[in-house]
Amino acid sequence: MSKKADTRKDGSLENIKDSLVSRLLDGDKKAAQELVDQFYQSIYLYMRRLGHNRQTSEDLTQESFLRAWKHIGQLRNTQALSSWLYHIAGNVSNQYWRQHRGKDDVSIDEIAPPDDVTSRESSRITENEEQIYRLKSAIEKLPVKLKQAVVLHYMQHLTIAQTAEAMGLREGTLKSRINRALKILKNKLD
Amino acid sequence: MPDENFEKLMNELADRTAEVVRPELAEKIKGQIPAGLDVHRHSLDTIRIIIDLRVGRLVAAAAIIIAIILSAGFSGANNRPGGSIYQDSMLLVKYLFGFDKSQPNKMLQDISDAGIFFSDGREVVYYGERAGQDNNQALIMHWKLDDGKYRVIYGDWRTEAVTAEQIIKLQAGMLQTKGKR
Repeated sequence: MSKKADTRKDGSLENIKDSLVSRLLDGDKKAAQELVDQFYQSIYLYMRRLGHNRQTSEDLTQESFLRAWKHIGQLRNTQALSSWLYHIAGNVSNQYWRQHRGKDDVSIDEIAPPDDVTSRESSRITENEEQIYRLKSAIEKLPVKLKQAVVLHYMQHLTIAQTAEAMGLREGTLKSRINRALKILKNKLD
Repeated sequence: MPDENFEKLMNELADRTAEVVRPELAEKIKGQIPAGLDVHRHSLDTIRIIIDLRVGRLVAAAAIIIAIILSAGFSGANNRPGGSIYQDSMLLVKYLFGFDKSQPNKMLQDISDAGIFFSDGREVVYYGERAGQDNNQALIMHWKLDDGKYRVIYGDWRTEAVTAEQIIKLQAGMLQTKGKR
């Protein structure tokens, strides 16, 4: 049965037991399967929120895990699994954009439009809903680096420290990127 | 707009963009888990060890190249057809540990003279034995990583991953420094 992805769990996923990391570093295949179960939905949604269509997001999620297996030796015991995986996924997504520049994909606007809103008559769309659509549209237009920061922190619910680790940045640099992104987004909303 | 309202909007957007993910996707990914996960630490750790040994530049450069080749071997990549790079590399490692500075080993010399060494499509660019001797910011070598970035090693043996644009700037900086001399 399909489960609806709940990325809010990401915050707690950082507390993945060290034993899973240790087992992964021991080459334990079962641990790898557990890793997939815990993260495949989050990574898929990350791809979707970065603007990839459904099929591409599935492909890129697979590619992210393939790379994770390949680079499992680079995982550190002290590193949060989520940050490590998001770092790989971010690179996979960037590489895809580089290779498909000018093509693709769906806009973030088209991501799962809420049925209850689209089916309503426009007169009934509240100001709040309008703002959400404008926010979506504004995020879509952000430069990739800012978009990744916003999506990881606000939509995948990673902490500042995790987001910085996932993007390979210092926390100060990340905060500055987020501030820049927020300024742009708020300007579009006001 | 106050930050709280903005966060509330972002949370709502996150909820609305949460969608059903096919469980088959998980099974598909699990089916791609290799039978034996490759848990070998790749070349970076090896490089740190080599740097800690404080061996000569030529030897260290050759050793780093070998480390890259070996890590490619561990990760299941194939040798070039008929090239038996892996075996040659093992031989080189033996030579390396018995390396006598008064009689430079020809194989090591060949590697450094060639400047560029290919292994399974991984191009290692070595800037020569004198590279970085007078300038800690100059590059000693670089090679491309899987994510499209480049791993560079500086004159003071620092190492970091940089983008293609950054590597061009670093190379341009080296040329400018050379031109001033």
